[in-house]
Amino acid sequence: MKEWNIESCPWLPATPDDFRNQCQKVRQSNGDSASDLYRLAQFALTNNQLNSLAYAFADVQKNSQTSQFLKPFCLGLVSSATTSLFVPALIASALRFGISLTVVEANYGQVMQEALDPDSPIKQGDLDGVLLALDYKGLPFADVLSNNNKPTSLSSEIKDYINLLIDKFSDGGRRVVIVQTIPQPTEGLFGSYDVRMAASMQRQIEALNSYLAELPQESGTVILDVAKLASRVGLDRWHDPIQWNFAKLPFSQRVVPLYCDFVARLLGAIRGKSRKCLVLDLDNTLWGGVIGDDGLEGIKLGQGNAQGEAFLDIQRTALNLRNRGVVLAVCSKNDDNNARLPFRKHPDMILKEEHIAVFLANWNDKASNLEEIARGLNIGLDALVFLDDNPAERAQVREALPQVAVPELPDDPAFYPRTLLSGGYFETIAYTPDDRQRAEQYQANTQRTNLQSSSRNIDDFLQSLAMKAQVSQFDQLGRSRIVQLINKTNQFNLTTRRYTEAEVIAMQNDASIYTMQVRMQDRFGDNGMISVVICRAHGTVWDIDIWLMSCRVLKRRVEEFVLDQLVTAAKKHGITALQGVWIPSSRNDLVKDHYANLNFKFIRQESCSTYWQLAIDDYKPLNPPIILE
Amino acid sequence: MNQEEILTKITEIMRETFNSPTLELTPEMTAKDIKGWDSMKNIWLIVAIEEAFEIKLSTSDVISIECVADYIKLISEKSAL
Repeated sequence: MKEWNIESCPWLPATPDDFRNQCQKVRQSNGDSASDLYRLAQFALTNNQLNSLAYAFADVQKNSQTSQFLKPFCLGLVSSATTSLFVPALIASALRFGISLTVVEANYGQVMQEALDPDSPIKQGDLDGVLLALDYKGLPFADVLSNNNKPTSLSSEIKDYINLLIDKFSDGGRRVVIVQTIPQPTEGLFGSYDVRMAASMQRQIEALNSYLAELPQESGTVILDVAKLASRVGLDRWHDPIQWNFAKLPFSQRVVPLYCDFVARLLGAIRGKSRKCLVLDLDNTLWGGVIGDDGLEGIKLGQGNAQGEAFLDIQRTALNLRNRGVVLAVCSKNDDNNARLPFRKHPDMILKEEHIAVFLANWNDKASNLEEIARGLNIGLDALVFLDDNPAERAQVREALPQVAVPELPDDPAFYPRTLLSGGYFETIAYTPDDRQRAEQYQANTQRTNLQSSSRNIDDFLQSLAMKAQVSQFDQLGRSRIVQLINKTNQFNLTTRRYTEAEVIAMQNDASIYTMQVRMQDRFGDNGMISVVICRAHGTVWDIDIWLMSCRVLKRRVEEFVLDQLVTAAKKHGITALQGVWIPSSRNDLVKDHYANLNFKFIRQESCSTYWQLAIDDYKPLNPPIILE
Repeated sequence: MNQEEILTKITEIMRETFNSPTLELTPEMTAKDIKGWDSMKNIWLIVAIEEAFEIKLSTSDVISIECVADYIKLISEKSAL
């Protein structure tokens, strides 16, 4: 068995032999190559292969316009060490997460100058974010011996330094600042006694990392936990003194592919590319053996034997993910009754039927079933992760549905949890109470769908849901969820404009901007915050900058309710008309006719966007069956 | 692995490293003969070679490298160990 080694990104499938030829083909093609680039980025690429892919991407960008398939991100890179050697790998790794990345490098070794000089490339650039890649060699740590071993292990000098950098690089909150935690150096001066020395490098770095962890989210900072990553690799491998001496490389060139994957998944999370649903195979994935052949007594699951323990661990991992808010589904080639038997009768099953939002056990091919699961949950295929022990099934799904993430699995199920959790599929930059409930909400949705089929018509159905909603302007309590919705919602989103937390705070305090958040409950539970609207006042017209809605409340006339509320507020503010625009993205066809359906008048079309207007005076409330609380 | 085989493998690595798919290497070639082979890219190249041949080069090894033949010599010495 091949050793499980994080350095080789074992959750990614092996690179095909003709990888370089495939890159060449992409370079020479004239059509839209975004999906080819995305597909090529999914392999466990070496630094040199990432380099080839980055060159291919650069050529493609020269020849054709960037596809809507990839989300652009412009990242400033600031470091006290040499970063140029991992820039191509970073660009190629970003493709893996659907990001078209541009990198602006700060001048070498000029961290503070970049921050303070208004003409520096980082300050000048039109950046979405800045990666602050500091390491211990570039930080003003106190000398371990000169400090008299004072009890405070983190100097205010370091805190001021970090805060100043964040403040300057965030550009008044317009940019995300990604701050790295600091890996420990390999060796200490005293040995084990370093732990007791308040001013030892080890203690200072620990204190700094704790300080970084507590940075307020409102400051627009996002943490990249490089300290943890380096410790997983092993500090002796992470730090290469030869490479440091020759080229001031902040970490061994060997870990570049891994490091870049970790940066890229965070960029993906910032751009709302994180996945939402884990789809599980059953036989030899959730238990050992084949339920249809081995029967309830024959499958391996439970304590007392090593294989049974491994499968318990996988189930525990899946349940933990569900408790975190990841939706679970089952996709198995089985008879439905057989497949459900362990869930119902096996005493050691951790997962129960009630944890599974969609349960598909049949003999159809898995790709079709995965499509049905995505449809059933009303999420994109790119929100799915598919866990299956069978290499042939994995290959079929990767081939048919490249948008679905399919982690490569080692032979031994003992490593399944590690592989799944190391892949970064469910990376997040915030965690709200709504996230925690999400899995249940999706499940309640399935129940609602069942109710729908038993109701005579849609109005009866909506009445029977007993929906009630609360509407207010943005506030601190709702803010992280608001920011998350703005950055994650793809389908019911008229403009797909993305804003950082700091920008949202600024809007909240801007008198010329009217904001609105909507929460909703029904008889099946709390849907949490489901809609966000932002209007910018121009004279007596409100320009609808953002109108988005969570797809879990689709087709429930919520948008009519929101418009009723919006018009009421507009009247209070002396507004005479609402103006809206639909800006097409690759994902928001759903709301193409949104304004037409709400009786807005078509004004004009510009490139592909359509503009609409609604006069407040003639407005007749739509009064959907939703009670305002 | 004989010198010929080592040269073929280095050629493949250098083609990727310097983004030059048609690059043909001869043992006499130095950094001056290959576009993009600067001191920074040299570190990149060294690591790629270390990984491909499963060897580790020391500081003095790296300093001693002047031409492709030096690489071939080091690789055949180290992988013989």
